[in-house]
Amino acid sequence: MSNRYEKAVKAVMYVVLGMFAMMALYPLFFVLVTSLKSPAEYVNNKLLMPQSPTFRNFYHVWVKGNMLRYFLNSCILIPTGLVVYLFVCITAGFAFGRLRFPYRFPLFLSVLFLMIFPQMLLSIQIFQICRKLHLVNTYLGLILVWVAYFGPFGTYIMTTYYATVPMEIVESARLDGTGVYRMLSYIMIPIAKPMIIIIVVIGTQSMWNELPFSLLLLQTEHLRTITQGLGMLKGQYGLDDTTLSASILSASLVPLLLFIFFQRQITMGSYSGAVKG
Amino acid sequence: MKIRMKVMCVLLLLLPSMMIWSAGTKESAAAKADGKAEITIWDFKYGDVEGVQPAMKKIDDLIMSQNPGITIKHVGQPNDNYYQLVRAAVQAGQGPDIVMFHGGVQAYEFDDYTIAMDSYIADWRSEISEFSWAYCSENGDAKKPVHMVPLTTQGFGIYYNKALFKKAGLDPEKAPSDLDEFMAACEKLKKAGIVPIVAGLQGDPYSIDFLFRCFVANIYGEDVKDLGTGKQNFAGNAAFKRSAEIVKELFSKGYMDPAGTSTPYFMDAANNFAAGKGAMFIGLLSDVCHWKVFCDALGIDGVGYFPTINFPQAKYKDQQVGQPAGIGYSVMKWSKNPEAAMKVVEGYARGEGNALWMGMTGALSPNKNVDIKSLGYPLVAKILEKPFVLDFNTLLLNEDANGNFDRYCAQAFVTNEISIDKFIAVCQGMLDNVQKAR
Amino acid sequence: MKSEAKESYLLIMPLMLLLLVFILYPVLANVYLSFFKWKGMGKATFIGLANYQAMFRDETFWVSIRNTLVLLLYIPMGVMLPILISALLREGLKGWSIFRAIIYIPNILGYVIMGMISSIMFRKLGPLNHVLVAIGLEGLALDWLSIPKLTLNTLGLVYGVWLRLGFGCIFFLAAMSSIDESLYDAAKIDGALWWRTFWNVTVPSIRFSIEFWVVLSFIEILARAFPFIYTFSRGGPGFATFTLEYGIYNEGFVAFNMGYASTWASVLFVICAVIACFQVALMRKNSDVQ
Repeated sequence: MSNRYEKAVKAVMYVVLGMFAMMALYPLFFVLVTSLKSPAEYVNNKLLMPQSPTFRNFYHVWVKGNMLRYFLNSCILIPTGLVVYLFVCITAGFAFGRLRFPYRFPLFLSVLFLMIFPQMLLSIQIFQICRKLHLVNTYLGLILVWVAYFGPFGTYIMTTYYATVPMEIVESARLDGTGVYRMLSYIMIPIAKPMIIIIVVIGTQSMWNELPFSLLLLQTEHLRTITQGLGMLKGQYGLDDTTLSASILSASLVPLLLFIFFQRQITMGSYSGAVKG
Repeated sequence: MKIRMKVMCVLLLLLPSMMIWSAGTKESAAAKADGKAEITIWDFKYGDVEGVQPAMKKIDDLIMSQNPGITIKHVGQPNDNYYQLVRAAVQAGQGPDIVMFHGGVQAYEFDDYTIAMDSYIADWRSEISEFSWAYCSENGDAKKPVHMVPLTTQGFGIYYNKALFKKAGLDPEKAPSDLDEFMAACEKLKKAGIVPIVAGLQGDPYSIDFLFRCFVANIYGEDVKDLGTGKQNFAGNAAFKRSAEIVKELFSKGYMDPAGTSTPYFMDAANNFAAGKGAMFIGLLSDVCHWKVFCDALGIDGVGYFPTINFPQAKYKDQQVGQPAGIGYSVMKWSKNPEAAMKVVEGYARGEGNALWMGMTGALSPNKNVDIKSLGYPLVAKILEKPFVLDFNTLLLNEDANGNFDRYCAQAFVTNEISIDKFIAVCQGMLDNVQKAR
Repeated sequence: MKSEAKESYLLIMPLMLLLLVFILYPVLANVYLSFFKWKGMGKATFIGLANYQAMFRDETFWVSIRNTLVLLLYIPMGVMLPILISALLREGLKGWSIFRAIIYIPNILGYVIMGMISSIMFRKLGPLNHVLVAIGLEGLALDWLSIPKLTLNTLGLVYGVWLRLGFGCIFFLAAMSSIDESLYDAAKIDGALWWRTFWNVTVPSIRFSIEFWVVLSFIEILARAFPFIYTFSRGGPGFATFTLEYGIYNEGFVAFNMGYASTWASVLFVICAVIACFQVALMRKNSDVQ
């Protein structure tokens, strides 16, 4: 009897989960289908497959919208930002997770506390500060702001990861009398290798889609990121759903690809923070 | 070892390329040394790659060819954060030479930071009406200096599809002349299975917003200005209450497209009208949702127009509501080359540049010398025959004009959360805010 | 140990410096600004508590608080659902890793894009209703975006529950993978049904993860929802989805009443600080970091 019961329950579960999966995929499908319709066709055919597919919307977004330039900008900016981000998260994470020093716990808490604030609260003051430091319209300024804003979460992940590293490795390195910098390259980074890919993916997703800070700090054409570029396309009157869909697909291209390629690592990433305790 | 090498290589590659990439910002300093004037313009329209940007590029080239000492650097900024950026620039005390503003309150806030233009425009001042110049002066006061050169005028009105009118048995050449005729026309259209009014109500219900602007023009006429001084009010005005009731009626009788709540005004509703999905549309006289788009779609003679709905309680009739300046250019006080900047602005506001501007974007230019007929749309000439009555929206504070009024309209007519009396009360509240801010 | 302390401070200095300059200072400056009247440029005039007085009298403020509270009511569902699904997935359903990947897709697209997509999906004549009608559930095909209470609850459901399901499943699956299998064997021996095992074994074992997720949920709804709400419904229709965070944006970047916006922000700051204290209490229990 329990077998039938189990089978029935399993069937229901498959159905429910299948529904959820379709609900997750449908928006992507809808956006894809809509992006291939011309606005004229979309007026009459909002929901079904395109009768006469066209790439006009993508042309509009990429060629006329100068998206290629912005895309390249993002491709240069994000990896550079990631280097700084990794550096900060690894060093701070290692210190909090593995080393002992006075005020360690309160400092760590304050890092987490500062993770809470919405970007809006910070935008204006950050702009003022960057202006005083002559960091407006520079990638350096934006990267520093990004690392300050996204850093705490990355640090938290690295901290909880490093906390699992066995003491022996650290102790043996110390016995050799290594200094900080050698520790960094020979110990911290190699140990963190599994986590680095996760931090990279999370950091990329955060920075790629970030808008408020980039808007304020990058004010000239040739510096803009792709997310900004797509925001510009929207203009005063919004976008047709068709062009909007094409821009959505264009914006999500890199994060989606990253996800597909590094799927295993991402899903393992949230391991830390969840397992402890 | 290998990892270190890789990281080193990556760093070596990225850092210099980043330097080169962002080195572009140093350009402007170098250019000045040449003895040429480099004029930077900030714009929230430049991002429109389809319509406005090509026009602006052409006009910029024209200006540069006519003024060899000037180089124009045109920078588009995102519309949603535009004023944030401008304020940040003002706070920093440096920025572009020319800044585009929306006419009205949004421009007045920057009066302290834009130059007075009277001496520069003296030669060609007569080409634009004093009505527009007054609007572009300090705080909208005609006695004060002009701070902005208007590039467009904007207005609102009701377009109708002549073919669909005919189909419902209505005379396509005759627009409804009063409320009874309007309602009767809607009824006939509905009976014929045609959507009477194509509406855009999702998000911000602009269809309702714009209809009220047309109504208010009829109710207050030239006294609209007094809504801003407190001499006229929404509260206690029987005609205003009646207009709200009319809007409610349009909804309850199903004349406002029931599918409107699924349709954002920009651009879906306009596209729907252009595709012939409804008989009437509360549209703009601007660079979008306007006569050019509709005539191109429905035929030069396929579109009719009337400025507003006349109803007995309103003091006036057939008033054309408009803004004397939709958008315009101001020159900032910190500009090192105000003369050159003014030359650029002039290039947009008059002459060949202005003709290009109107011809390519379809925006209505306030310049009297523009040959409307050359555009080839008889409908426009007809629309522009009448003088404008000020749009009450231009008198409100920023947050009311660009947000709260639409929310109130939604609450009163789309979600029916508030009663008509409450609607009038909050609208009056908007007027009170203007008084409080003085 | 002294050298270790010195090294540590050196290591955390980049992060702390950045946080000090770009996060802590702006937050404090914001609180300071709430006692002034400032338009984003020009002079800032000191007006003491006038902003606070105006705020507590402002109808919109209380509406935003009420809306925010309604959204917070979706946190229980946003916590239970991922836990439930993770527990079910652990039973060894075929293709569970694919499911886990697919359900993460909304997370990848990001809030802005999901907001845009949702504003199209939930229209009265949009795809969702189209499907509902097609499968015969016409009664459910409501005007999701034009009825105030409906829009708010749709927001809560989509943002508070659905969007976070992907990350939630991954999070809890990882948490559950560390549960001692012997506990389950013991439960089986006792003849416990699945449901009892779930409540008596699974849930208690991941208690800390659940608490962490609850705190994270609070933060997400209070301080990260704006991009989604902005693209989804603009705080509307009317003021239906106007939250505290949205109010800060509206006052600060539409009306440019910077001082007043900072006042609203201070309220959000206090609420977040209270949440943070709970997070601190949570961390104290977490022995690893001690």
